[in-house]
Amino acid sequence: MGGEVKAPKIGERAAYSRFTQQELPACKPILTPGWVITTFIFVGIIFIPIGLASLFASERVVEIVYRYDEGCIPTNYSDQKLAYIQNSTTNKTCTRSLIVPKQMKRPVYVYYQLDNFYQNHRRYVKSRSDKQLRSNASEGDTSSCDPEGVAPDKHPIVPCGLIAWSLFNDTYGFLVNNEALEVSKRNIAWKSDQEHKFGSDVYPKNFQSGGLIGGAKLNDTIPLSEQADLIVWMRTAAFPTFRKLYGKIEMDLEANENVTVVIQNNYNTYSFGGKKKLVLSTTSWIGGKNDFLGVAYLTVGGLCLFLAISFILVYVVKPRQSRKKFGLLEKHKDYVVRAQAFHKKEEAYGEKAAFRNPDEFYFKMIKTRTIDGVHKLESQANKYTPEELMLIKTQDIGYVLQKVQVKKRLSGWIDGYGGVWVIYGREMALGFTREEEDGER
Amino acid sequence: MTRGRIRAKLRRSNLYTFSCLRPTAAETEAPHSFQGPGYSRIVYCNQPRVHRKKPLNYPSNYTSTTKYNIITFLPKAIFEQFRRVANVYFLLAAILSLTPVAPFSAVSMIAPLAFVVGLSMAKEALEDWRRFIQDMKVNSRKASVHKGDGVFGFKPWQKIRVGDVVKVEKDQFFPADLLLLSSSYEDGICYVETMNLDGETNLKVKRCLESTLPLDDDTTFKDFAGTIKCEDPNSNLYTFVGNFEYDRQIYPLDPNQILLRDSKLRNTAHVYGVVIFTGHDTKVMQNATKSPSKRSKIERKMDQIIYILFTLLVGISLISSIGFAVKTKFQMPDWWYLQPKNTTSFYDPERPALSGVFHLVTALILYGYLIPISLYVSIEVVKVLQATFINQDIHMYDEETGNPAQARTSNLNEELGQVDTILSDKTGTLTCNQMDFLKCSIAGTAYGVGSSEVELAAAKQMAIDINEPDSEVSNVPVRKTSARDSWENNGSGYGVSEIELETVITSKDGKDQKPIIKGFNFVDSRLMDGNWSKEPKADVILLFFRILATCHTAIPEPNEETGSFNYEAESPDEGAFLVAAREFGFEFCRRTQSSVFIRERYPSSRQPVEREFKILNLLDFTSKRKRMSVIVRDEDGQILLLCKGADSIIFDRLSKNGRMYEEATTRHLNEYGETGLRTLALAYRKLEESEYSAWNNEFVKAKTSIGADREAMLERVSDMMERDLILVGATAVEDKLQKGVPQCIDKLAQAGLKIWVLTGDKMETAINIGFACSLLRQGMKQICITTMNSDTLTQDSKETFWLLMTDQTVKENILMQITNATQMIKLEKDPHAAFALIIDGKTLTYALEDDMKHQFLGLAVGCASVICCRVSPKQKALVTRLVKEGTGKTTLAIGDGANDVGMIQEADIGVGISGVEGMQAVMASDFSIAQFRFLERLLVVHGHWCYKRIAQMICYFFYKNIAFGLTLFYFEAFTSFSGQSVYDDWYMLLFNVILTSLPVISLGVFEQDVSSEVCLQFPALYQQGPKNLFFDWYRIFGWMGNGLYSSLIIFFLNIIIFYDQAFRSGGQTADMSAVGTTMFTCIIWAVNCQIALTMSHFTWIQHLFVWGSIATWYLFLLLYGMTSPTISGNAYQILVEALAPAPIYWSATLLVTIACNLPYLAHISFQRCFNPMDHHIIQEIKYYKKDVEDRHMWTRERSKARQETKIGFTARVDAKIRQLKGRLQKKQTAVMSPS
Repeated sequence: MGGEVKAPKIGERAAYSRFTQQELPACKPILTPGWVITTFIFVGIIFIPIGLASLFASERVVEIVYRYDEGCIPTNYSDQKLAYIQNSTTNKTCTRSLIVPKQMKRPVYVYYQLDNFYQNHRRYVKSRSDKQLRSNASEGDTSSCDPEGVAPDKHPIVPCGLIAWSLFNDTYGFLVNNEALEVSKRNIAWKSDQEHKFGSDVYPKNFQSGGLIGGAKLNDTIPLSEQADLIVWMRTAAFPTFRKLYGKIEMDLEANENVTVVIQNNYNTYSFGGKKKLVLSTTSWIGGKNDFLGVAYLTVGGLCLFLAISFILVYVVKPRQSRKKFGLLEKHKDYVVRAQAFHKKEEAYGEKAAFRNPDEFYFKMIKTRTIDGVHKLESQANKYTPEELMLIKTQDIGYVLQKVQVKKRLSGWIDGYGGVWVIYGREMALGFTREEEDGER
Repeated sequence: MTRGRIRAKLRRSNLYTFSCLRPTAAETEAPHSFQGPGYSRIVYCNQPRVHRKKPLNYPSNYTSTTKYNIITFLPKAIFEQFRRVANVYFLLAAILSLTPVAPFSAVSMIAPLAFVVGLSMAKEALEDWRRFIQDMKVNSRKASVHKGDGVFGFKPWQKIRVGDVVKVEKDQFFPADLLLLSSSYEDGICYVETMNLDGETNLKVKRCLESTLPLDDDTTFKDFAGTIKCEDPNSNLYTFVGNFEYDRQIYPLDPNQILLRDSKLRNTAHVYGVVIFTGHDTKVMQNATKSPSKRSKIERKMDQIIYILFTLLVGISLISSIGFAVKTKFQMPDWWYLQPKNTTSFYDPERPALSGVFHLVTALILYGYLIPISLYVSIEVVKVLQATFINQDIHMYDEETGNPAQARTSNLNEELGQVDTILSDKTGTLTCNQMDFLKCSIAGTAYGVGSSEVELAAAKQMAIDINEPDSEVSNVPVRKTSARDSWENNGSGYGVSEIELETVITSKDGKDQKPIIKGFNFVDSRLMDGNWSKEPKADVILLFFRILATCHTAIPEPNEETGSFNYEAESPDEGAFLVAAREFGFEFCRRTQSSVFIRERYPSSRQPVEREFKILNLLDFTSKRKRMSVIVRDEDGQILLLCKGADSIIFDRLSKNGRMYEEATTRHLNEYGETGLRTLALAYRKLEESEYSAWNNEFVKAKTSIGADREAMLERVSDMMERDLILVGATAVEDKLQKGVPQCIDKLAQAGLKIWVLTGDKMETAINIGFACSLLRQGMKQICITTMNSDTLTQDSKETFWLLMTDQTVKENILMQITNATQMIKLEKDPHAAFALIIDGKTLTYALEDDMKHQFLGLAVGCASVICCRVSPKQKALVTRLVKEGTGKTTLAIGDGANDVGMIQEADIGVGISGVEGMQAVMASDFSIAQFRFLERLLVVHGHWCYKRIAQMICYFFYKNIAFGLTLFYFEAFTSFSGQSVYDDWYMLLFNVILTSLPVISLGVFEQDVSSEVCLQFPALYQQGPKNLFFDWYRIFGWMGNGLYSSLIIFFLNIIIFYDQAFRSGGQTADMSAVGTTMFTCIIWAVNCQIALTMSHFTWIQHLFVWGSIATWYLFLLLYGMTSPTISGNAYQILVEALAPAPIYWSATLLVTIACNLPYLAHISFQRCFNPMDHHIIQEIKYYKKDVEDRHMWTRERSKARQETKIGFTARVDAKIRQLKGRLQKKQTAVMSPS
């Protein structure tokens, strides 16, 4: 309660507007059978071609995947892979040849694929400094790069952080018919990355100079914006299994051609059992080889068609129209009541029918009674219960009332203070002495 | 409840006596002696300066109802906000986000919280500001205060100090609690309207002390000084203890001299008073109680869901932290690229348990998206908007009073859709509380040919009841529906329009000739226009009119417009009598302390004669005495006692020769009673001078006596005088039904609501009204539960009777009645049998006791209608509580007076009628409407809508947050539970706040399953609320399951599509930001399409919000991608450069969106087609325009859309039809079967 109790606000009558009265024009879509079936069929019809197109595109993609992490370990090191890979003196070169299964139209993309490598680990993802990568001025901005922020001599590392530090350092060389294929690194990184995120005035400093050497070293003379491999690597992958673009071969590879790959197997995936694969792949409009998209589209499209068909079937088998006779809002309980009444009647009639003697019936059977052996017509008078009598009486009053009203309606007007229609006696408690309906019109 | 008690006290207190004797006792009475604490206040009159210093420094007259001030606002409002458990959680998360534990940047945690809390606080601040403005208005009102040297000047209220002398003019409010010193009347009385305190519109009289009477001029206050010692501030409105020291004498004070703040001076030119209590010390401020805050059922259930989600949150956090600990311990040492040997304790493989604990915190923050942060604030916004719509509804605007409907709290909108039982007051709620003088019986002759509305309604219904079945024997259903139909389309005016149940038809034919006079509906030319003098017993009639004009406590107020008078009467009945007397030519025009002046107009003379009646004594009306009398001396010196009262009381007190008309009058009284009129009997007695003076001495003695037995003595003395009366006649006053009440009750009954009537009236009146409203009908079995009727016993045997009737026996008796009745209901075979329970207040006191109330409730629930008569306000509240707690269903209490406040506060929803009887009920209520009939629209339309809106909205909220939150969890599992999220921080920040909030708000504000007319045409739709079809656990878990499904689809489809291969023809593979952005796009599409499927009503607003949200996402992405890479990070130019050119991005969006919504679409379309709900069918009927094309079907469906009900007009017709059918069958069988 306030200091003063608020008097009722004599509100202005709210101005009528369709908005305030919640009567804005609205479309009220209703999922009628027609709409439902159309929608399902429509989705199905859209989805199946898309699925087919995707599948087709995916089919056209030629992909060569070659796992080399096991094979590139010399046999004498097969029990001590880790020692082999961590030993800087061992020969890491590994030459393999791959058969091209189908013609590969250029450009042929070269990927490396790592398994079980958590580039999406939070510690890993956070360990970078975008500011530092971007401009020379923020060189010292390494706070987020822990533990690869600064070199032991406290000078900032450029590029800092775990991601850069663990840069992939296997290299691939390709020979076809003993002719080296050029692997282009142009445009393997996003253009925006090169232009805006990795500064052209930022040069690697103190990189891989600490006690622990992670991955590749960078050429100190090339600015970061030109270090395509680093830029690609710095785009952390979403899943522990990922491919990254290594380069492009701007040449068609013919079917059954023999491609010799010279791999420098430097990168340590052996300590965590990660696989390394080399991937050569062409692309189509959906990207690389991706059957799933097409399959998924076909599945959803098929499901929609199935739903449409089953809907039609169920609709035909059990149409809602069957309830129409009794009203659509008919509830089960209404049905129960009706059924009960029906069965009760059925029983009663059945019983009567069973006891009935078809030959022996004449009216006096029910209309007369024997008094002293003589058939006498039963008196029809005074056979009403008091309630029935009451009803008959009130009905009579009702009749009078009705008549009065009819008459009044006909007469149309009434004099003075509502003509006193004395129409009833004392039995009727409720007087009807004034005219009002007609006065209203 | 407290108010009710207060009011009861007020009635009984002796505040309205116009005896011209001053109680001389005041002088002899000893001053109050104060001991103990609580009586320490000292006020030095006219010395406000003294009260500036301690210890008399009482608070100033500044009042404040605000919750906060500028300094306390922030801490207090923030504290209020963080009382919500969800907000505390988010606050903790925001604080932790400043530490390295957090998976997100701090801003993405703090910004939404700040937004949400800020919005709520802004709302609080706005509300408080409004209160502040209102306070300021009150505080800066001007009052005339003594400034010294007998000069009065104006001061704002807030500057008034204790001890100030204040002059209050007519029709002004008292600025503080005052001691009345003198008034413009010589004898120092003044009239006070206390409507703001107790809701009563009648005036009360206050009287100053004899000794201060001379202080009646400004200048006299020059040297005025006095001391008041009194009680400390307390909340008791009707007590006051204090002493006044003046002129070296000490006078005792009592409540009669105290003028309370917020009451109004009426009919008095001015008064002088001394301020005793100021500001928050005043009684009215002390009395300000906070109404209990109510929460709706849905909201309570929502809390449970939030707890479930919390459990889920903690559960998955535990899983993820255990997973993290395990991974860290066993695998991380091998992950050289993380430099596991060179790590902090968050990722320490040496101490995985510690890292796990840290990670638990991280996970709790990360999965916080399961708890919708914006839920509370969205719901608040939605409810406020819904309330605005309720306020704006012109169909609930009362043209006559100019009152719109008002949702005073917006908390309970959806509760309106779930009401199961309505508890209604009668007077002022079902009836107008406007009394019309309708009939009278004078000297054994009945006058007045008008008929009451109850009669009209009953007659009309009888006409239908009988008309209809007459012709319908052959084809029952068709006739039935058509008759009903025409009744519902009333006003359409064809065919059977005479059965319209329009109840406001007054004498229309009379209207043509003269304007309708409020309070007077008497039609009989024998008495009007002075014709009464030609009647055979004109002298008795004259006396009758004089009794009407003199025997009352009203005050006339000249009405400038008409030149006649309006009357401020204690009760509307009294007002009606005065109006009647005026119309008969006996106009009460002036009242002084000792006289009543009546302008009598006789047919013989043109000019009215003003006659003075000296009022010698006035014997008050109390509910116990049930009568009031005045003793007057007319101009001839004749002393008369004029008395009016309840018939039974008056008839007991008639003299032998006064019973002349008793028989005829009794007959008339019975007739009047049957037709629902309120009756009073009038009588008089001639007194001899000596007889009177002897009696008067005794009366004065009794009056001036002090002590507990004063009341009893007064009563005894009064009783001595009110004997040997001579009966004059009886009056019949109609308590008019409010407009549209029977229709409204019928509709509410069809909507499946139970209606209980709780009234303070007597049983017969209540039953009459019950019949008029179709709550009762012929053929209903009435169960009356009463204590043994003691009225029939004589005075002597009464005592012995009460000796025998101990409490225990009474109780046993009642219990037996209840069990018998329950048994009877149980054994009843006829499915159509209806029972009505009628119980009176006295019985109710027993029935509400703990050991009996459950039996009572059991019986009441079995009855179709329940009427409780003669109940006290407290009992109303108790009954409400019993129903609320006993049945566990939602109750709605509706009332208009201060006596309904308890009930209104107790019920789940309180509705106040903003009518004539003050504002107390409205102030305590949650919704206020101007007329009872608006309740139908409030419940059936707004309640239904709001319930569905809020239910759908909350379900959807949980759906979308589960769908989103769980994808975070799945992704985390792929990052070795390290707590990395796939989405950019900004995406997540915007998800709840901008990208998905507006569509859900538009759902909550604008959704309509069916339009308002259809809601009214199919009342059974309302049952979806009480049955809680839209917010049961099945549905909630269904939505949660849908969320789970969506999250799975969104996540797994995306990760498979974007697994490792290139996603563009340029050969690039998808990095984390590309995958995250695509996934987020899918989520935005999926949840917004989901809400579009949920909605069934699209205005441009919904279209704008739903599709606009999706567009906003792309727009945001575009703009965000254009910001500097140091802000946008990996999302730099992501849409333009990486995603938009990739067809797979778009095809993945399409695939995921469709796949997410397919099951829901299939579910709703199959449900609609094969297992439709009521509103589905109705929507289709409307959609296919069946209502226009197929009238037969339309009417049939409409009759199906009714709840089985046993009350209301429709049920009445059904019952009649059944009865006639039964009779027909009986006849047939009688014909068929042999005897």
